[in-house]
Amino acid sequence: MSTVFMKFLETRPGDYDRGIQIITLGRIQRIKERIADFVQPGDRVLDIGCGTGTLALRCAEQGAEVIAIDAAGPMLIEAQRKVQAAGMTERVQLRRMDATMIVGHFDPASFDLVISTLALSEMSEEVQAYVLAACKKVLKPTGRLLLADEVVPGGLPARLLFYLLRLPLALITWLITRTSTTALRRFPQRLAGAGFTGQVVESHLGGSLQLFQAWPTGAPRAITASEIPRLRHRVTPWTLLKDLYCLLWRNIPPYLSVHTGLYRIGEPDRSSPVLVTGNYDLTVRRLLRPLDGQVRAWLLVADSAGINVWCAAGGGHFTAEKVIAAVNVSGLDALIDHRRLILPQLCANGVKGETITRETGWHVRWGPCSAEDIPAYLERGQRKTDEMRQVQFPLPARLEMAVAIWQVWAVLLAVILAIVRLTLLLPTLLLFLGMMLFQGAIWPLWPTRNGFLQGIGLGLLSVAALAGWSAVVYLSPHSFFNWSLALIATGLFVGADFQGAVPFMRGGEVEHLWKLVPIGLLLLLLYLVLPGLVGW
Amino acid sequence: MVKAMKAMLASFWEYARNTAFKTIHWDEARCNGCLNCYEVCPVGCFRPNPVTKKIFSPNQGACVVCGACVLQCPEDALALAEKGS
Repeated sequence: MSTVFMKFLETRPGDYDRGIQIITLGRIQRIKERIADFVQPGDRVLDIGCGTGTLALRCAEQGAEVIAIDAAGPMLIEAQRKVQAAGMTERVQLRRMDATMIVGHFDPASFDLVISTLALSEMSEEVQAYVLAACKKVLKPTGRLLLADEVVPGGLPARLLFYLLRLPLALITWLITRTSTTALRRFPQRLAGAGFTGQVVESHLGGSLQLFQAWPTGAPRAITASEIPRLRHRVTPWTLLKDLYCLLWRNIPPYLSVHTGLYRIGEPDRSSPVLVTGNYDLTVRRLLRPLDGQVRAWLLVADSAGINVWCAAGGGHFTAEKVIAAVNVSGLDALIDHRRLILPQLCANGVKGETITRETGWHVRWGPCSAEDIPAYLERGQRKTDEMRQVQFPLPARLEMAVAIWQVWAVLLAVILAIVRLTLLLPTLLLFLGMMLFQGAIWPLWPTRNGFLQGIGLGLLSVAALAGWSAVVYLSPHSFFNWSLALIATGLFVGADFQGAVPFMRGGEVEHLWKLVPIGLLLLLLYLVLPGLVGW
Repeated sequence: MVKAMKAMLASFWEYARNTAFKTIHWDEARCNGCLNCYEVCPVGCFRPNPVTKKIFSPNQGACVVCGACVLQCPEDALALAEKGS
C-alpha cells in the first residue's frame, strides 16, 4: 500500500496548474495578466517558482528577457515544452533551482523585475525571509518585486469566511492534484523586514489572494541569529495523542509536521555531526528517541511536505533542492567546521546527493536505514554495517503498517457500507483489521514473499478457522458459505496489499490487481448465484 | 479532472510495469567504484569486490525497483531495465 501511496502522492505538472486554478477559483490567471502589464520591453525578469511557465511566457511576449526557475523537474519539462511551442527559447531561460539558491547563481543587481506567484506560500517563514533578502540582492536599485500569493485576510469575519471556504477547497484540490499551500501571514511586515516598501496592487477573493508590488528601500533588518532550539525526547499525553493520530490517520492529510530548520540534539559543537531528515512529526520524534541523551549532533529538518522520507522522496516531495534550501537558510556554514551531511538512507530514492554537494559544498553520507542505529553508526566513525544498510521489518513495525494500510481502505469501506448496509460496517472493518494484524504478525512464517500467494494462504487459513468455529457454534450452510467467501476475498486483498508496505518487498499491489479483480468478481458471482442453485 | 485521473492511471500503469517486469542492470565498465549504490540499497543488491574495488554483479532477485542506486550513481552505470535483458 505504501508504494501505491507514494505513487498517489506524485504530482504531475498538469495537476499543479489545475490545482492552482481550483484553489484560486480561476483568479490567478487575471493576476498573471496584471503582472505582465508591468513588464517593459528589454527588462530582465526573474520568475521564482515558474511552475509550468505560463507567466514567464507572458512576460517574454511583452518583450522581456526572462530567467525562470523552479525546484521541480517535471514542471520545468512541461515549461520547456510550452516555451518551445511558443518559439520563445531565445527569451525564456529555464533553470532547475530552488528559490534559496538565486544569490549563488545570479549577479547582484542584475534584474529589473523579480516576479513570483504562489511560491512563497510553499515556504516556511524563515525561508521566506531568506528568499526576500536574496531577491533584494539580485534586484537593481531601481528594480521591482511583484508577488502574488494566498494571504490570510485581516479581520476576524473575513478570516473565518476564509477558513470556511478554504477547507473544502483545499481538500478537493489535494484529492485531485496532491497540491497544497499555506497562506501567508503578516506579509507587509515581512516585506519591510527584508528592506522593501510594498503595497497591495490587487486583492481577490475577499482579500485572500493578493498581488504585492515592492521596491527595495532600506537595508534589510539583520536576521538575528536566534538561539538554536534544542529538541528533547519526551513522552507526554500530547505526544501519545499525536502517536495515535499518526497511527490511525497516516495516509490522509493534514499530516503532523515539524517546523523546518536547524535544531540541537544535546550540546553540539563546531565538529558535531549534522543529521538531516524530513519534517514529518513522527519521523522527528522517532529520531529523537534513540538520540536524545546519547549523542551530540545538529539536526537539520528539511521540508518533506510532512511525509515520511521514503514516501516523500519516492513521490517527489523530498528532493535535493529541499535539502539545499534547508542548508542555505539555516546558516550551517558559519556554525560548523566540517562539510558533511548525514542523510537518511531511505531518502536516496529521491534526494540526489551529488546535487547537494555541487550546490552547497556539503558532502553527503548515507546514514543507516533505522534511526535506532544512528548512535552505533556515529560511534563507528560514520560507517555502516550491512545490517544497518538493509531494511528490517520487525513485529512492531509490521503491526504498525498493518493498521496504517487498513486505515485507508477502512475509510473507503466505511463510506460504501454506510450507504449500502450500515449493519455490516463494524464487523467488516474489524474482520479486515484482524486479518491485517494477523498477516503482520505471521508474515515472516510464510514460505513465499509473493503477497498474492500469501493472500490465498490467508483466505484458506481463515476458512479453516471458521470451520473449527462452526464445530463449536452452529452455522447454517448458507452463512458458512457467505463468511467463507468474505474471508477469502479479504485474505487475498490483505496479502496482496501488504506486500508493498515496506521498502523490503517489491511493491506488488498493482501487479496483483489483475488477479484480484476477476477473483473478487467470481466470488461475488458465487455469492449471488450459488445459494439459489443449491436451494439454501 | 478526467485528465488528472488519466494521468494518475498512467503513472500506476508505469509503476506496475516497473515492479512487475524490471530490475536493476549495471555496466561494469562504467563503474568507478564509488560504492554509492552499496550505500543506498535498502535490500542489499550490491556487494563491493575487495580486489577491483568495484561492485559485484548485483543480486537482481532482491531488487525492489526503488531507483535509489540509479539516482545516486555518478557514472550512469546503473539502470532499470526489463528482467533478463
